[in-house]
Amino acid sequence: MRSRKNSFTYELRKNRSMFFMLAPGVVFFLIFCYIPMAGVYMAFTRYNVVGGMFKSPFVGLENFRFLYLSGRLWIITKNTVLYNLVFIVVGMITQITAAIFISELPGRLFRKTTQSLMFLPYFVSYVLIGTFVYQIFNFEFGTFNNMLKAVGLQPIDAYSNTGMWKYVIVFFYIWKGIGYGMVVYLAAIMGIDNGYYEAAEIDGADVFKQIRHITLPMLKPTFIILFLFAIGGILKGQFDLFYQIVGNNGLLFNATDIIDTFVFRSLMGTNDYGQAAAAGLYQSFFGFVLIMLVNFIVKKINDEYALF
Amino acid sequence: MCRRCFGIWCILAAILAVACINTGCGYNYFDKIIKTADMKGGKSNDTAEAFADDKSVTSDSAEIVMYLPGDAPVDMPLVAEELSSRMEKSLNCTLSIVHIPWSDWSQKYSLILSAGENYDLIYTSNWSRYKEYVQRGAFMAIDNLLPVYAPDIMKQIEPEGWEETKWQGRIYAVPARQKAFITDAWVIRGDFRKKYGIPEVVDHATMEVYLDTVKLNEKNIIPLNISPGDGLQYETTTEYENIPGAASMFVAKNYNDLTNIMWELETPEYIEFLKMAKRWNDKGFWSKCVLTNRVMSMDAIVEGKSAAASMNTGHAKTVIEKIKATHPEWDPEFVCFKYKNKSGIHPMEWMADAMAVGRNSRNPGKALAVLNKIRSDRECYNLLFYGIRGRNYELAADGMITLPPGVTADNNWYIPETAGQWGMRVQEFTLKSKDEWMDYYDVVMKKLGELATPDKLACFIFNSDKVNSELAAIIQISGQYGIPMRYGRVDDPEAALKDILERMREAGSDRVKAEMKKQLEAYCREKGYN
Repeated sequence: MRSRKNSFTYELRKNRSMFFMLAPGVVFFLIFCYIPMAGVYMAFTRYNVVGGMFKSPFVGLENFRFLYLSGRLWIITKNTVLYNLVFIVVGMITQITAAIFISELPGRLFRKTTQSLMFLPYFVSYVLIGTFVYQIFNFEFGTFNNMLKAVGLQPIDAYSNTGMWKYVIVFFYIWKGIGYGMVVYLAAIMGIDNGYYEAAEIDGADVFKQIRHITLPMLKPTFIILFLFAIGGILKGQFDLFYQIVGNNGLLFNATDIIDTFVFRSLMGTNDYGQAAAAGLYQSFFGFVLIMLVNFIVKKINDEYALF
Repeated sequence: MCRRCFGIWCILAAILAVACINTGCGYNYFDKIIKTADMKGGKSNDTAEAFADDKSVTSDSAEIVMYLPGDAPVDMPLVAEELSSRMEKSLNCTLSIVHIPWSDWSQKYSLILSAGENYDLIYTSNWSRYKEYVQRGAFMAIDNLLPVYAPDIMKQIEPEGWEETKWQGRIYAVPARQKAFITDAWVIRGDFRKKYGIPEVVDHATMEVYLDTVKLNEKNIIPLNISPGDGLQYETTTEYENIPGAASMFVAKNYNDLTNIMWELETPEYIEFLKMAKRWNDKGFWSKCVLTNRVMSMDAIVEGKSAAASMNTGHAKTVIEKIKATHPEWDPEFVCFKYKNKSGIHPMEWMADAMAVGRNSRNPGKALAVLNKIRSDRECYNLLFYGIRGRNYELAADGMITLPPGVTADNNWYIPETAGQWGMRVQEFTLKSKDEWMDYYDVVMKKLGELATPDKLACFIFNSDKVNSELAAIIQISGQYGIPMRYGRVDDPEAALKDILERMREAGSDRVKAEMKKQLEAYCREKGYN
């Protein structure tokens, strides 16, 4: 006979407050993530108003065809993945660096002010950033070209050449996200036991040695978890960033087109919800495969750091 | 296996069960919507009749919801309230008007139509893709309801007008044509032209002379501050006939040979046009950032940031009105290349503006009665189009519209005909203001009217179901490679054109063309053309 102690109802009763606290999260994901998944079915239908989501005619994989027919699937997938990789790597390095700097700053007021100032760009919308960029790089009256002309250099025709856009886009992404992303690392640094640093100081370690041998290793678990989370979204592009900065400028697409902007442009032309759903599913599917793969690798290397 | 795990699995199973029940509900809910939709309009043959039997318009009170395009004027609430109370008195229903702002027009409009909301009336037109949405079942067939609930409208619209709204033989919209002729037009700065003694602008060659002179002498203005949303009006140089559908990328050989179709990019004259664009670009007629520019030339010219602007005759009217009001010294000139070319001028389609009944409307009969009231009762019409008399407009003794004393164009919070009511316009009710330019515009319309031929393709609806993927891919290619080429932002136009045609061919342009040709031939056979 099963002992009372181990039964499920006992578990439920014993940890009822735990389950109660878990409930909102479960309900949230249920409503906003699991139930809408039924909509994936749309990717396989030709959507119309009469049939709605579930009764429109079934067309199989037809909706996926437009992705490769234009011959751009490879470029946009590559762009999406590479941009996101750079965002993740450069973003994490700058965020960790900034967090360490902030934590080492003397004076509470100065530290808080610096942190707030770095946080501010997070609230600037990408629409505004798009306008900034246009005003800076406009050929005829842009700030940048006026500066070049003032010192006797040739103005550059930025909007016709793909060269510099990778850097511009990455720069603005990092600039916007640094204050926000740094908070998590800052919290992790604050959580490190002060005893380690005191002991190190007694042993004669300077600030750089302390960072190298205490702060960075202690940040590693946070870093890996955040990295894994970010990897899952590697096929999801920053639509507003790219769309606001580049817009519909076809000359730049080879360097700046990502899945999201591609899909947006296609669907503004045809208004086909089935194709939009198909593109979304393509992104999610490969995002899923990627996160499973990376998690698997992490697990092989060090079991403790894996997400699941 | 530990017992703890068993507990966790139990929880997971419970969650799953709940999820299933919930999604189950979801399915039921959607089923319900679909069933009601089917009852109301889906199997529309019997449903519209069911509504038609219920002739008591004034029996139950109801709320009619009407969606209009654009931003609501400041005085809209006052107007809407007054209109609603009038409807309540005569038709026993209230009317609420909801505007869809331009800023998120395309997304929101398409969502409202696709999500199956319960609204009653909505604006539609060819430019807002009536022909696509009607195929997807967004609207309710109303041919059986019209004679019962909207007898006055039946009298206002000629048979060929109804013909344009038809899909599979049934009427899905109430068109509101104004007798106008829409074709490409330009607006240029008359003050510059006269200052430098440039001859009148009549075609691309004379336009180039004008732009050259402006570029040379006026350093503070961009001669043609154009954006990818505009165009350089290739259509005005040839006799090709534009074919509606497939993103307007097809043309027919000419007016009398409609089934001989080509991609516009394939037409032999196109390369010359691209070379001209390249030359204009190299001369610096427009900004090097033209492809990122989001300001249309017709807005730029009003702000004094462009010396010429490309648009259609309808917009030209508004633009010239605006400039006359703010900077009369600029002396805006109306230019139309079609005077010289003479082909492809058609009366404005009936479906240039229209109203339709939503497929899930609960009171389609009443909705049509409201529409009928607005289009037949002059007071209601004036209220909706011109605002409150004495506050927003005043009628002079000769029937012309003027502003009330103390009100100027700047502080009139209900500017005539700008609140998205165009879908309900009635030509006979339209009020005119006393204005030289309006007289000139009438002359323009008369001149175009003499050159115009009936629009044979107005009723053609292209069904893209079979080539959806190919078409989406081609629109994509056209956006990426076509737009830079069209504004001369490529090194070699000839190579660029060859490249884009090759890409289109790879994406299946031949299949799309064959499908278009097939449908067009069937249409022409049915209509007896060719």
